[in-house]
Amino acid sequence: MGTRTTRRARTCTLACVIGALIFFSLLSDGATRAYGAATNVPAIEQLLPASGFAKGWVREGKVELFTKENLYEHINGEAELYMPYGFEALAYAVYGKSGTKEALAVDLYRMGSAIDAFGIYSNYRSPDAETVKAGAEGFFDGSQLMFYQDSHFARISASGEGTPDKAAFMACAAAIGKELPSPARPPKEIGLLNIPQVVLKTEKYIAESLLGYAFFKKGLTAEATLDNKTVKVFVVLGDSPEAARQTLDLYINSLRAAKVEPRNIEKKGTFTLAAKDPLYRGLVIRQSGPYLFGVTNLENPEKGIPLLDELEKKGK
Amino acid sequence: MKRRDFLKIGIVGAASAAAGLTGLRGASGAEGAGPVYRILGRTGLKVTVVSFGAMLTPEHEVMEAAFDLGINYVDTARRYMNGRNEEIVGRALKGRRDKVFVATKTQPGSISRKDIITDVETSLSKLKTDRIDVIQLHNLTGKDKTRIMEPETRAALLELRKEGKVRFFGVTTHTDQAEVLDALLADPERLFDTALVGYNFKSAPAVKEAIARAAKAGVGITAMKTQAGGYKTEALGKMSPHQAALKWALMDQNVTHAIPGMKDMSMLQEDMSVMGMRFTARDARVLDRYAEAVKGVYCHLCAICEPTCPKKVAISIINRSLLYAESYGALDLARSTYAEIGTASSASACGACEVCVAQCAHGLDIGLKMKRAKSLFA
Repeated sequence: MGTRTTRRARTCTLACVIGALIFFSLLSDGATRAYGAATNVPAIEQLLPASGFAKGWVREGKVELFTKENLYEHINGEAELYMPYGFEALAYAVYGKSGTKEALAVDLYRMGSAIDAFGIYSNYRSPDAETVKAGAEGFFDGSQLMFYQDSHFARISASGEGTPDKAAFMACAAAIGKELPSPARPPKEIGLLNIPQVVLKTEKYIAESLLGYAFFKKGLTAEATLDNKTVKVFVVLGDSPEAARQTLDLYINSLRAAKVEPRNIEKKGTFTLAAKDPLYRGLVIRQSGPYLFGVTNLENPEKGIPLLDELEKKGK
Repeated sequence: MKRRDFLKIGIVGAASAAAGLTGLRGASGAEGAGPVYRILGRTGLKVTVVSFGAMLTPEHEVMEAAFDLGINYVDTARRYMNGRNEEIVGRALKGRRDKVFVATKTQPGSISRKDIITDVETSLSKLKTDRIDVIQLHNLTGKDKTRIMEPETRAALLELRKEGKVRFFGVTTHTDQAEVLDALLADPERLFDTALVGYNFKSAPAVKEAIARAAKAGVGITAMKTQAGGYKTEALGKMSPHQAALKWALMDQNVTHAIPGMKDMSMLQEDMSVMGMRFTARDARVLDRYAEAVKGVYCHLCAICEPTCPKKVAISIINRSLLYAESYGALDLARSTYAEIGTASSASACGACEVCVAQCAHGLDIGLKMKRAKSLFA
């Protein structure tokens, strides 16, 4: 009896030790990924430019760091926008130009992935804004420059009295970009919208509730031109063909619950669903592999099918 | 079938399918049967108790659906999405402007006449409207509540009102809400008519009391952050405190309305259906359970406890370190945060006390937390 108890106690101790080791290794793994203590991921504060990124520009005060828990202290309620995009950390610093009252405030966000960084960037980008050469893509609107690169999103804003010239913004962006992981190119998912009809700079990645439907968990949207009218194209990103099919079923159920009966259009063995969506009027949608491709805001759903064909080719 | 009826059917059905919810508008039909209104203080605006927080909504069509279903107040800000959020609201307002009240905010750093006027002019242009119903000074705290009395800010607001570009003035506050609300009452001219206040079932009684004082003085109260952090509670099984939390805020008759953020149709349905519902014993149990679930991690970080500690231990920073370690699994960050505290203020200073006398206004067991910190970070 005593031997059995001792053996059990030893087994329990061993299990506890192994459990604790696994637990702490998981903890430290998560921590290094989030805050850059791993050897190949620099801490986010190290990615901010040092003083002198351009002549006369000096960092003022300390770098401030924010996490999921206190991001709202820095950007107020807007913090909630960042969470679905896998926000991990933010480094913030202000730079002043010697002899002037000009200043630049730099926010550098580490997001969950490259597509997440593009996603948050695309929430801010206006199709009318001037595109600049910064990171994978950037824009400048006179008082702010934003860009994304790899899994990072940078926002450089005029802060003091007067507005610094564009060269200062560009130099600051270049200094940040130099420290960020390369290559500085868009994530591959954006290629799914790379068809001529898509209006450039309207592409967005939505990390939650695409089109305002919770069952469309994540995906891309963009404006497109069809017969001189603006329509919306979208791609729901799924994990597998089965998951995509299930998502389509959820959409069909929601239409039926709204007393809308979708219809199947068959052309050359390809099946497309057409419906009058309660929010988006005429809509066509088609499953292809792990994706659902769709076109909305159509007066005549069938006219959207050629667009769907082109989008589907990008998913092959 | 009219679009409104169509959406009504759609929203109920779609949400049933998507969210697995039942009893969407209340079994009796008396509850949650449609829009419910209250008056927004001395503005006299008759607003829906559930209004629309636009900040997180990428699709204007969701907002259009909300307006078509009767929600008549939308809150956005100059800052959100670098102005893109106001553009999205502007699209949703097209053809509906006269049915919806629009609230937006100046930039947090705007104080001068020029900045305030530029903010409002830009918002008008982005929103594609000729007037803003409520313009709010963004994010006031105890430290900068003096912005309320800033002569240039006030003169600019009055000028904009005279020109018909704005109708009413308000402020927003997440931190030191009671101080900010009291500052509004201390203004002899009572220039600001509304306050957008972070308020939920975890708020300190002082916030509730300040809201009551402000409401009595005619300030229209809009509640935000009604979800108390939105912590994940999967470990406790299915629990949706969202509606209960919203009902809790609206149960306070001094609160005119709330502005939950709505990203999609299922959220819209969930929030819409709260209108007219009562806060029930079941809701209280759900919130109790939720509060219990987050009790170990939900430190308000208010630091009210610190003056009650004779050893001057940095309790809120230590609790933040614990939060990093225990809730976010960020042990390195937890340790580095803890390391910022000098030894004299760290949890090891607790060793000199037999019993912890520090008092948490929200019921946290501070002594236990300090012990945990000591064993984890020592």
